[in-house]
Amino acid sequence: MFMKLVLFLVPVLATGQEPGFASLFDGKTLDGWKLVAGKGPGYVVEEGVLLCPADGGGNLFTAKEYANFVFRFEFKMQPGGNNGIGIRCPLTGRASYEGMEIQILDDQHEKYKGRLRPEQYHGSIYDVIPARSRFLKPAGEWNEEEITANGRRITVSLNGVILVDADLDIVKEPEVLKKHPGLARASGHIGFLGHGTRVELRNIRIKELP
Amino acid sequence: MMWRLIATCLLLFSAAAAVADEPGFVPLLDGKTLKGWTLVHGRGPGYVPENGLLVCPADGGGNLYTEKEYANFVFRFEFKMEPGGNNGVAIRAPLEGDAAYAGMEIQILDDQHEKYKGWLKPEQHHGSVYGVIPARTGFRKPAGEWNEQEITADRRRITVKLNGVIIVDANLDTVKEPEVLKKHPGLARASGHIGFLGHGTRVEFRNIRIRVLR
Repeated sequence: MFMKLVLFLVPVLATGQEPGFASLFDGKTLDGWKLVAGKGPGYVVEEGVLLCPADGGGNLFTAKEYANFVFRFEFKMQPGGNNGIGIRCPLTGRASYEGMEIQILDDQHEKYKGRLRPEQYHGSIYDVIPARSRFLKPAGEWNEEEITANGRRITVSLNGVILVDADLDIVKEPEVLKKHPGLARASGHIGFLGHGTRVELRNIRIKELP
Repeated sequence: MMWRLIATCLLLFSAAAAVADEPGFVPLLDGKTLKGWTLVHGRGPGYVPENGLLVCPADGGGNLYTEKEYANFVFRFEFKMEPGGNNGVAIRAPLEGDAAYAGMEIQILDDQHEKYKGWLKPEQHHGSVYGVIPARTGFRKPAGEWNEQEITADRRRITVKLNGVIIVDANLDTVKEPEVLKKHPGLARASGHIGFLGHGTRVEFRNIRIRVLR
């Protein structure tokens, strides 16, 4: 009984131990969010979880814009799941080019075997900076992710492991900068970029950096 | 004919100037012998100096290490692979053990070759700190062409540049997972040998030079 009580208390305490973080999702509504290019039901709230159904999706952006921040959330994918986090995005255009996309992908699923470039694996700055791989929990389990954007440095941690720690200024190739104008942006919307697979999100919170 | 001669002279001159334009760099290969290098676990003919090049023949290979040890440095060289080529540059490696784990290996691989399709983890692509930090891809010239590479090891920062493009810029201290550190004790090493890690494919090297950092 005591153990049960402790287990129940731990998540509450953990949230309390994150000073400066504000919740971006109230667990009931999509208040503060804006759906762009939605498909089918878009995103729905189900039992406190933000859900991108397999027949839904589109880009669900924060109404507010963020420049420098630590963005934390948890996600769970169906096998072969594919989503992404848009950062510093405008509301229109392809987020992975007009802004940046931190890839969310069940990259070990057999349907992707032999089809992925390193820069398409989970956690990568899509098409630009590859992430360290194989730190995802199996599809169907919750993962914790943290994306820090601080000036020109982008850091991605998955389940406590640093997958990406990149200085965007190392990217100097004219063809890459032309294809990815978003790399130069200082701020923009944060969003979930649904791709026709079921992905669940929860505990979405942010700390703005000066 | 005259113009061709002048053009050739200009090319030769600019090549010579390029070396002179690299203050602090010293060549590690004399183009004729393997003086200053030591072969470990050599296979067949090992490595062969050929027309100023260092060649790892398809039936040769093994680990060809500098006799000297280096801690912090900028290591530059050019390489050319046959299709499907596979080699690697060991840094901060001991002479014994598997260099990719006991030291670090900066991968050299024709990773776009069809024989590797579906077999490679991101951390096995060309330029990666093998098994640990993946490199940006798509900047290597096709097999059969010369590529320029620069590997900088400056304390805990490892930077790899391929044909002028930064493909790795890693702080080794971001790697904290006990299982990775246990598998790759070489990540913790501060110095060691630099070497070529031949893997049974023909790879040619030239213009191998180093600048030691303090």
